[in-house]
Amino acid sequence: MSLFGLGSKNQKTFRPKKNAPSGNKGVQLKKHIDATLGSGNLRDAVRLPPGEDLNEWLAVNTVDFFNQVNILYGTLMEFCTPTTCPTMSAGPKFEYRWADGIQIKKPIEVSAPKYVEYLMDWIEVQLDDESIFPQKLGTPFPQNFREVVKTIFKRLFRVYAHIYHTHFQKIVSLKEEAHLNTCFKHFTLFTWEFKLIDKAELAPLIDLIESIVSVC
Amino acid sequence: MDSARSWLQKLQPRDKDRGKPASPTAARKDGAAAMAEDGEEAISSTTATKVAAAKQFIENHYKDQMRSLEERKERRRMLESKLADPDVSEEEQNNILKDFENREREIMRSRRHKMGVDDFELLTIIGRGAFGEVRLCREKATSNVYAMKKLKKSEMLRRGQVEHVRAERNLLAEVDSAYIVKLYCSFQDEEFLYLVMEYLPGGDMMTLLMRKDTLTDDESRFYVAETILAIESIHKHNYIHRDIKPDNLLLDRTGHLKLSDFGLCKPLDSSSFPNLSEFDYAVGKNINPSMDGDKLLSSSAAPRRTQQEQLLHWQKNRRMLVC
Repeated sequence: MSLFGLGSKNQKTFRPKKNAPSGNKGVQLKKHIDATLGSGNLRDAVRLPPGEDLNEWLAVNTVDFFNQVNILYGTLMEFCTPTTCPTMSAGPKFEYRWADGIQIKKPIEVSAPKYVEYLMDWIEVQLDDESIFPQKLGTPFPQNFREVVKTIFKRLFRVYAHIYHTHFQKIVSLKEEAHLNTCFKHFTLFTWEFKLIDKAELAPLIDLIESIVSVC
Repeated sequence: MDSARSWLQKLQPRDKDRGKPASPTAARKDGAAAMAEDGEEAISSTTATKVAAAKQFIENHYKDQMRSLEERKERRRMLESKLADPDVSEEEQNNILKDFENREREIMRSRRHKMGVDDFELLTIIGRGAFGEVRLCREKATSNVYAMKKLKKSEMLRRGQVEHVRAERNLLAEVDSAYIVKLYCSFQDEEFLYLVMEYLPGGDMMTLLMRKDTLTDDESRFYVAETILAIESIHKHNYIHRDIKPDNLLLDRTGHLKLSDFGLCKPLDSSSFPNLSEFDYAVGKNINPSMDGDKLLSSSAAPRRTQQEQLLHWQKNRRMLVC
């Protein structure tokens, strides 16, 4: 398992805080989630097309979601700094620590931009690895491909959670909320369709996710 | 690990005060500051450019995705009508189905394919620049011919040209105009950045002028008009070219003109325009005859200047704008 830096089950990189004040951030965000692009029926867009290989479908969408998160977070680099975001968090209740299971085995606390840099670099290494995401025709996907994909999605979700909790006002002032919401809705529906993220991990944005899944 | 993804991102100028809200009046290294709508914090022109590129990318992505979804459904419908043919045996049906699935898998893998220099057959060198060369190349998969601009990273770093290359790439990716050289794709390896652009076999305007010496009135009108349309198309995207010259006006095989070489182009914020109302005031453009002198003085904070002083002031502003 650690061959792909997926980490072991007992390592806690996701730390919900028990004594944190419970805010109504989810309720506030739900008001804004309706602003989206006219991007067609996203629920239809996430379904596995008839006759398609599941791994191929997971692979192509993983690359797309990585690109979207990469470009969206890139617009916030001026505002998400070690000074403004000294820890990688999703509101006062949730904090993330970084471990890749290879170079950094014990979870470490780093600033949000450093965390995102580690995370995106790690994902890119997976995407560029021919033995995990084969590009040559005829090369099969590895046995644990789904597990790798789940780890990638779990980590991409953390970037969305940080953006929504910490930088959403900036997204609004940059007039990017429709773009962010569309990407996140698509990401959520895809995750839900293929059960790629455990429910506990979704806690920081659960109100938002439930409104997306129930409405769409 | 310095990944290909982050090479351009990591080389941004990092102000010491990057994390703090920028003062609207503070001079910034990365271009004029544009006020965010909430009025709290200024955003740099680098961020403004990134936001525009991100929006464009996401909108295009969803358009493409919906189109490819429809195309896929159409291919599936055609397959089903083939399979419904009573003359097709079961064995043939299985072969058709297997063939279809293989083709779809190929399409899916090609969507993930990361372009690289190995996807092109390199042909003759058609130009050399400060940071590398421009080569004619042929894409192996399609046999299409392109011009590949190859830029040495270390040289660009040494000369502080990273922002210029970023601006060039962003502009080419963002602007879709018949009068701008098209960027087909961009990628990088350890040593070089590559911009693969459409190849224009008609040469440049400089060569044409040298060859013809003098253009007719009709030819001049035609080329000037197309140049204006080209410049207008980049101004619409809030960029200025800053290097308009005959060498950068290229001709396609039908003789139409396209603007190229955006190495000096700059994203522009409207907040950075010089205050032209001062100039108008000095030359008497905005004076309402019904106003008396006292009211006129109190209504403008601009000092009285002679036309000569005003012209110098305006020229200085203009120079600052292109710095």
